[in-house]
Amino acid sequence: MAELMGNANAGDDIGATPADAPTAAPGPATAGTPRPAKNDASAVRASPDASAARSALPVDPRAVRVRLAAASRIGDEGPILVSPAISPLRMTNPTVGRGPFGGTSVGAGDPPVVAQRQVLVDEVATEVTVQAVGHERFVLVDGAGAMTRLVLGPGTALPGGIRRREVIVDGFRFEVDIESDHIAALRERATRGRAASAHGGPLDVRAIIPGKVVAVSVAAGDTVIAGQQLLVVEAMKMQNELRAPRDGTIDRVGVAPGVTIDVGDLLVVIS
Amino acid sequence: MSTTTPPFRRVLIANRGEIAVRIIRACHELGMEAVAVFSDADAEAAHVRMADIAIRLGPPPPTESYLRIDAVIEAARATGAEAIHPGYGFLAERAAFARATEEAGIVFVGPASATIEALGDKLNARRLAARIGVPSVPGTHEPAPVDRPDQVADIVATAEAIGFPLLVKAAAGGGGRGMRRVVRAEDLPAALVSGSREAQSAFGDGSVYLEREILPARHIEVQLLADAHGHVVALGERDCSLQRRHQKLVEEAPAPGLTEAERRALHGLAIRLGEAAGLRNAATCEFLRDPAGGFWFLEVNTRLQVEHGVTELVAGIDIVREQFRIAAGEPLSREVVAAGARAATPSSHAIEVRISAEDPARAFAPTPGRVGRWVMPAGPGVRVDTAIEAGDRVPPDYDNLIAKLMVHAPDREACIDRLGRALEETEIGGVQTTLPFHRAVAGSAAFRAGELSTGWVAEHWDGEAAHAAAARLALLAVGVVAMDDGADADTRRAMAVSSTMAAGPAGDAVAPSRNAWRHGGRAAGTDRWPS
Repeated sequence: MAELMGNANAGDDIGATPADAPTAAPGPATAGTPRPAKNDASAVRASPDASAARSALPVDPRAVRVRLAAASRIGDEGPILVSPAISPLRMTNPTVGRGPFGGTSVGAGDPPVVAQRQVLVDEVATEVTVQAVGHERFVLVDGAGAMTRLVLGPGTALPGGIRRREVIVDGFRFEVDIESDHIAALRERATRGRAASAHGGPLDVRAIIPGKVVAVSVAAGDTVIAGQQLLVVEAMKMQNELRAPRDGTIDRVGVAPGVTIDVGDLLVVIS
Repeated sequence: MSTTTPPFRRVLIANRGEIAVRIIRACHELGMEAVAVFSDADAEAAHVRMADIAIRLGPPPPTESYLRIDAVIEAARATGAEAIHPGYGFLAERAAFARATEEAGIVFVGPASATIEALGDKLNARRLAARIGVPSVPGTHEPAPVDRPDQVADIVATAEAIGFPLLVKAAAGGGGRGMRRVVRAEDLPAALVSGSREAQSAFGDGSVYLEREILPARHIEVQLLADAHGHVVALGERDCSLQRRHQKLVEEAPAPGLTEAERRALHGLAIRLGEAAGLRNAATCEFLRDPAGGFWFLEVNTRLQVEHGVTELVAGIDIVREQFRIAAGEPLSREVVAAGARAATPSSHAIEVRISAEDPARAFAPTPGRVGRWVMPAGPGVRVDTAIEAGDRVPPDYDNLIAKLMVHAPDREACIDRLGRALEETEIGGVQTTLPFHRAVAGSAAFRAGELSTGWVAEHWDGEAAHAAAARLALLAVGVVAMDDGADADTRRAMAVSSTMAAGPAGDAVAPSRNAWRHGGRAAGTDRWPS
């Protein structure tokens, strides 16, 4: 299956299936045997899952899903899909033609923009231009002509073919994960069964700041309600209360007073 | 440099970070050698690199390094330092430290230990103000009982008399630590306990007292300089109303909207407090201004303030330089006296924003980590005080202020424009900072109109909305660039995977690169529980 990644350029080659992945498709999966592309495509189409329903259309090989990395999310903001406005399957879209090859150049003296162009953001046509203006610096111009400066770091490769880049915009810094849409679709199909079984399962409460645990207010077996204090973490000379994100029973407490914790450390499991 | 004799030959700076760097700069300009002290977390920090001599104090926790009076005095003795400048925070307002310095025959650059005792303890200061008829914020003048069930009824009755909402404050406090806001009487006992616990942990003194919360209020403070001969001068006031968790985010000088008469009256109150306390060297009197324009004394900080720079810009005085001269016994300089005479009629404006390692979209939660990209602004009227360079770590052990950006212009309008321009030039990666908030301030019509209050942040800053708007642009930009780079990115991904495979041991049954997302799933599985 190592050729899966090697084939990633071939956008229509979504037939390769991970050997050990549970899949919605009928029939036994034989390790190391690629499924015929046609079967996999049907499996995706048959799924009631919303994202799979979207994938019912053959995926544009250039389409990417971008999502804030977990550390940059405040809630559970999902990914957005960015795809070219011009795609062989969307020639009937009336907006096509104002895309990358139909754009108009702006005159000298205007912002450093070569052309207005259109992309699809979650299937919605959106005017946007992103222009490199030197090392790691970019200017984004939206359809209304509003200009935003950004810094886009080179990024690092994560397991699973995901690339993580740091973006600085309006003083915020985000870590953004970028994944090819068709690889993401494959991964989703493979993990769908597992995700379903995990629904309603235990909730991991993880550290969002590094620091030192100064007090633990709950023990395994305790019943907690949303908003109840779980522990107190001292960071930068301030005491920060960590509260239960939902009602439940404490399954496990992974830390004790005095323990130094880092971002992402598992603190408490609520079931 | 050497037209005048240096006040001292060698000075120890009992601090770290930007303020240590600021003081070392003044030392070098005065022709004095600077001795730095450091914890293991700061072995390669800027203040250590800049100093002429550096002495290790101990491990990272402040109680084992920067708060060790014995170790700091010993470092001064060992290096032959003639004076110690405490900066702000750490030992700056510990009377015991000033006393130990005096007893070691070393000059403490600050007020006498007895003055620090009288003014640094907020309860003492409140009693002093009451004695000389300076109105202070209504509240108690003795430590509140903590964890004493038998006295709960008494303190609740006192609180009812002061009126809710009120604040539990640490007598030894500063920076909002140990402070709790109490809205209902039944929450008071718990607030006293938790405030006292935090105060004990932060200052080694758990005394707390009650103070009425004045709302809406502006926080306005007066910079004082005083010499050993009894002369006290006010260099002007600063408005520090923009705060979160009772810690300042933005400061400006002068305070907008005050009349000359109001300025004179306010400076007069501060000078009276300084004279009554026998103040020497630098200190700041903090006041709250109520909506009717009345000033209420809050506390005196017997040290250099974080925000001293905006006063320096407007008054044209190098306060740290004056501190050293005063400590050496010189009278207030002609320049300082002249600046004091001009203080009620300021002719320029300065604004400082505190760039801290905090996430303004997550209620300003601390974000220690390693700084990546680090681009600071420059140009006319811009001053940046920092100890950070690209690649430096912001340790979780200390205050999270990483840079002070100050701008100076002929008037407030131009100053705000300059602030916006400077912030546009500023780029910080690696750790989230308060920059988005400062950008919003610079662009805020309310701020420009001078509508300032200690509740400003809650009223005008929606961190989550700002985060969401910026995130949308970030995702869009990354998406478009990644889409255009699609073919390249796929090639890189493929190369990354195959290089992982090549690096794995031959015949490894669980070669991680078998397929990358399977590897990712396995990693997530093994990461589930800290072993």
